[in-house]
Amino acid sequence: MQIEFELVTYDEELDRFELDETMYQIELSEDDAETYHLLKDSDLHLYNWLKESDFFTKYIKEEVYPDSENKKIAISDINGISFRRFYFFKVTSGDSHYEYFKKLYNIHEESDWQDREDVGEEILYHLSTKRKELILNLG
Amino acid sequence: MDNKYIDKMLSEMDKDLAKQGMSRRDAMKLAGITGAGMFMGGATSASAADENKTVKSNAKGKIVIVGGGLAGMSTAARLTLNLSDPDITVIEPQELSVSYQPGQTLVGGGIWDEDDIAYKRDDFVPDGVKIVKEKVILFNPQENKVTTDKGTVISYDYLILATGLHLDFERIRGLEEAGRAMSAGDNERLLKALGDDGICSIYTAKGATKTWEQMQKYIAQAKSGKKTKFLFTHPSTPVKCGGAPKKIMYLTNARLKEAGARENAELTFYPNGGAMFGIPEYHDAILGQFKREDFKWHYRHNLIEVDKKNKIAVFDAKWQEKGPWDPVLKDYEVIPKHEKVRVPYDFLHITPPQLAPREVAESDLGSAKGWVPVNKETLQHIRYENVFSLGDVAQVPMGKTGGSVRKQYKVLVDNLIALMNGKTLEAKYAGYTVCPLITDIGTVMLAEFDWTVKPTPSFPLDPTVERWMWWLMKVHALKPMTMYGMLSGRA
Amino acid sequence: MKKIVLSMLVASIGLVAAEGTVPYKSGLLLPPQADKIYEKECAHCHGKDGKATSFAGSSRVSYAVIAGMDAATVAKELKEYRGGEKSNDYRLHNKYGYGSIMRSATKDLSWEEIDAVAKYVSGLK
Repeated sequence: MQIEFELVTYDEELDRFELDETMYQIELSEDDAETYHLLKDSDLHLYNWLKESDFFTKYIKEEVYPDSENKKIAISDINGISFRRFYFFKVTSGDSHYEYFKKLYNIHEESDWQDREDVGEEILYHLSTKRKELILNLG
Repeated sequence: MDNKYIDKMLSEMDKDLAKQGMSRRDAMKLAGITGAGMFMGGATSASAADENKTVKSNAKGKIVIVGGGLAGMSTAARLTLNLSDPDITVIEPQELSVSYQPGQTLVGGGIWDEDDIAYKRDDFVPDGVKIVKEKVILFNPQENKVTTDKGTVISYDYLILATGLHLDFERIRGLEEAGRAMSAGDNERLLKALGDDGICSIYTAKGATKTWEQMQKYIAQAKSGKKTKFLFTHPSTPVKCGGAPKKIMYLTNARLKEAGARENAELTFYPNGGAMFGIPEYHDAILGQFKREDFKWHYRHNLIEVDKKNKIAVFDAKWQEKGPWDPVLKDYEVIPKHEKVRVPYDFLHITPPQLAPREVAESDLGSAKGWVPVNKETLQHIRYENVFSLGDVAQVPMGKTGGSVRKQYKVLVDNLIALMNGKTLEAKYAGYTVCPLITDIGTVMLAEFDWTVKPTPSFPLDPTVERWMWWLMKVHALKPMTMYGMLSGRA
Repeated sequence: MKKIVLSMLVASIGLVAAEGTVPYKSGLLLPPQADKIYEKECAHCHGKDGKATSFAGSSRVSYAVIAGMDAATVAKELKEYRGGEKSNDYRLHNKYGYGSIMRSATKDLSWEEIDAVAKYVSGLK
């Protein structure tokens, strides 16, 4: 089967991500297709599987970014499942992203309710390390 | 203590019980033993039996506890019960460190006197525990030492941080003179800065007495026919006893009704938060109570300034507006906005912003937010294996109440002894918090919850109903249970 | 500038403790010891006697003698430099252009400690 995916490029100097905006497609072997179906509801497991898969990295290096000296990228969407919030989350981002990260990072409210800015800062703090983990080094 | 209320309560209780075909003695038994126990954390009758068979561990090590309040002293007591050869030192400079802070709300409402809640550290130092009456100001966890303000250097094998927190009145513009404070002590400077013209706070023992004085003054004013504004605040920081800012409001309301002065009074709650309570069931219950009692409220208003001369409270009012469309995240942004709002007051009850003591916050044992960073379940410091923390200074969500300490100190003692014996730490704190929300003179809504963010009542009754039974517990059983049960390490 | 001040503070705390004399830290709800506060926060720019008018390492900057200044004036100025908790709420007092240096020197002091230091400074000859 085929899955679609989209990428972001990472500029290390500016510490910034940018959308590639191209919809790519990759063919999955039968085994890989099974793995995909198993993981497709589990978010970060899906991501890590694809990131660590040789067939995927090979495809990127050969077909997507052939001159990939020291290029750093990350995956923004896998077959419609979006990971963009990891790279582009801001303190002003919408509630759904807040709820996702509060759950992911177990951010309990200390008081009855916590200032959005405080929670946002805390999320960004966690993301500063997480983002690095999601990056693929093509160099 | 005001006996009129005890009599009133007892007669109400008898009426209630007669309806249910229960005798007062049965009810007291039910509520008295298991009630107070469960009230403070779900102990069953099994716990009494437990005490008799405590097997003492012969683990060795010098334990130093910084802070001899409820948390520190109870931990010291329980350690002496569980160790055959304990070497424990408590460092506490405040003579009245074990005063009963939960009673400050009742003092503020005129139900109790200050004497009813004042207890001396020296009367509660467990046998065999050394007490150092100084204040730790320097921490050296790399060398396992602490230094006090008198220059005494104390080394340790194991350290427990139970310093409690500081009340940061000076953060509020206009109250800088007040400085920072802790609950016990004469707090002369603070009270002088708050003055006698309507500003008060039950967060210190002496301040609670002042609150009652001021409350009576403005109730009299309302009774005389003048429209009187009562304001109650809740700050933007974590606080100890999240219910207290509301409890004093309910008590003021009760006293106003009692005096026949309620019509001329307007009571308004100004919390920094966007909800009455973090637990939806209790939030709904409180909202219902607020509407029933004709309280007003304005969410997301943080008190930042007080103009004492003109009696104006200044709030930083926050709200959110829908922002631009974010094409990358495919969602609308949410723009936080704020503006200053000036509100005139006659009576202003301030729940001060609260923070970890500076000496802890700036040490290696502190954290960016100041509180001591611990594994919230085992209470062990995240960086220093031989350091633990509990109570108000620990960075544990929802953990700043007496009821939480009652659960925490047992977990800490078990884990510390396990560590001393080279074993894994297995005891876990699950975030239990209890907030007896006084909603009237004679009723309390017993809010119990933990990190699952759902009510976790210890007794098979609807937890959102306000009951005389819990009032009775709060006023009569809880203090003896704390002072003689917890502070001896048993309850 | 701030870094130098900070490391001097840290060094001085270490020294005091090691010598076994009674240490003092500001902002900890202890009874103020104006001489110790002055030594830690003020002396390296203003001199032990309050008469220094410039700071070695920044020849552009020069300031008045503070020894013997009126206590109430000093207290008021220090409180304005210290400002509030969040600089967004309070304008940074920047008299003579020393706003940020003075702010970092006073930020740990309680009002009580500032009053004590002001009195001490007015007593310097």
